[in-house]
Amino acid sequence: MSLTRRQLLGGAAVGLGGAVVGVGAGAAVASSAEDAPDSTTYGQQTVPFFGAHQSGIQTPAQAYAVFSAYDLGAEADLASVARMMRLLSDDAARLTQGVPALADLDEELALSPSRLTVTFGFGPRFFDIINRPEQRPSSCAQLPSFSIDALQDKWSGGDLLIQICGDDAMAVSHARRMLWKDTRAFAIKRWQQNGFLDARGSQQPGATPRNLMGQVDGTTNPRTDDDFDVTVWNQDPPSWFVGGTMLAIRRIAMNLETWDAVSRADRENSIGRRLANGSPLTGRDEFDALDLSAVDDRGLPVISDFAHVRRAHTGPQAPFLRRGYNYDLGTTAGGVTDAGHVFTAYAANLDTQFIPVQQTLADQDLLNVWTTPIGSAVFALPPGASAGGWVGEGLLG
Amino acid sequence: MLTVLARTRARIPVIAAVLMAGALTLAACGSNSDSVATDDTASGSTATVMVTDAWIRTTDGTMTGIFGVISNTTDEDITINSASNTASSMTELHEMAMVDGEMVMQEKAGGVVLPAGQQVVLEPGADHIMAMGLLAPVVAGEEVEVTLTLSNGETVSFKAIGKESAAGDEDYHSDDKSSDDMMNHGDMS
Repeated sequence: MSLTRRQLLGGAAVGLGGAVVGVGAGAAVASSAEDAPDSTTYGQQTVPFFGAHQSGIQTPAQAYAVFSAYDLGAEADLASVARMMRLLSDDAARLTQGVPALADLDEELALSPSRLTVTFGFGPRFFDIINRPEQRPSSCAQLPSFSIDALQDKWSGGDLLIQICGDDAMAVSHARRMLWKDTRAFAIKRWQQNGFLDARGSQQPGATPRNLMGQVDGTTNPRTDDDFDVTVWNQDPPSWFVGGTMLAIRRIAMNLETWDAVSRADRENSIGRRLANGSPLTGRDEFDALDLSAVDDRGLPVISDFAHVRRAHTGPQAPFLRRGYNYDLGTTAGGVTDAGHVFTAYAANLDTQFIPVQQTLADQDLLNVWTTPIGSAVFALPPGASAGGWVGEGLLG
Repeated sequence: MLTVLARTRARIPVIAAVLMAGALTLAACGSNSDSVATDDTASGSTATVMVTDAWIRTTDGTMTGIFGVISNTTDEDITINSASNTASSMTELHEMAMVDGEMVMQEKAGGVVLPAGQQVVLEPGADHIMAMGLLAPVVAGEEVEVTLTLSNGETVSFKAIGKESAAGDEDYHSDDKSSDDMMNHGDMS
């Protein structure tokens, strides 16, 4: 970018009032830690494994996620991959219901699933390995490189994705290890990205989560079944992929040290929303529509020309589902916080729904000043398995 | 150490087993909860012996264990007299037993008794089925058909799914470790 950040932060003075309101509103709801919790039943809550779609996508985001990518071994073929998916589906079907996996040596760790979900995905090379390249969904390819990218191999690519989400890190950990034990005969680990959101129960159910820059992130997500049918669930050939979805997963490093130096008003201008409640700078409530034509009393746009929401805007609802998680690996030896966001975009077709938005943001987006994509991978997530079946059966069976 | 693995839960009343089986009907691999009794009568009596959660330990060696949960739904004791399987030329019923102060694996004399109305868990470190003289490596996710011959004249067939497991391997591992150590010492000298 040739413009300086100060120049870009044109209509700066708008956001302050919102910030002050937000502080008061946040303080009012705190209650004493001595209060007894209502119940401890979250541990027994389960999400169905079998169904038209895989769980862990439309499922309201759980508190923790582990995304693991694997590379299939040189000897892998259609038959061995099918055996693998039967084993992994069986493990997932049991663990998500709070039942130990077959030959589970740590069975007590399986007994509090806490909305555990396991979601499988196949990378672009997967379809060559099984010798069915014609079955590869059209947008199942690594993303084009963007000018903002600083991708690292250790966070990119992969043949098999296992996404494990849950409200209890214990259940997530156990599932990750159990699934790995049944993966290692077929594949080696490529990368693992752990992420977190608010603890279950610390926010109102359904509240849009925040990222580590403090921004409310995901306001325009698809929410209803109809939304998901339009945006997320694929309806097009190949037939095995009907009811599945594509996933682009990108590791976004945040420079929180330079973000610290940015005033609250400039932070809000960079995204075009208020930090307090995620409302657009042209509205009052989180879900108010953006008014991209609004100008302030000096005639400057209220939402900056380069604000994230303006650049990303394609309509009242985002053209893909974001279901990302925050990561924090602590402070580096150099004194920099190694933290950011495991960004996820779930869409029926990444070529038409995601890549155009990503290209627009790569071209110009104020958030690019503080964020850098350091990992990128794409997977085709098959539809769900019917009871007694297994994930990927339509492709591999 | 292996005595630790011999579980006290090996006998569970069938009422609990049925509840558990209900939970497991959700499992993806229908094949590993298959159970077939050959002498079902037209009067609608249920299978006398049910096998669920069957698995066979993967190996590229010559023998391996087969495990699972076997439920006797009748009110009489039934004995598994013998077993066969499609992966190996010979099949034995094994137990872990204390012999001369050492826990050893040996053929179970008289077969495996399934007490009336109870569930017996075949698992590493306890009673199990031993596939000997394997015809090929047993690989993960593979299905092996196993047939039990019962004392009441019935046979029960089920599929066991290949599964990698280190359970009960601790002795072998410590042997491996010591030979590794010795080799390392050799390298260092």
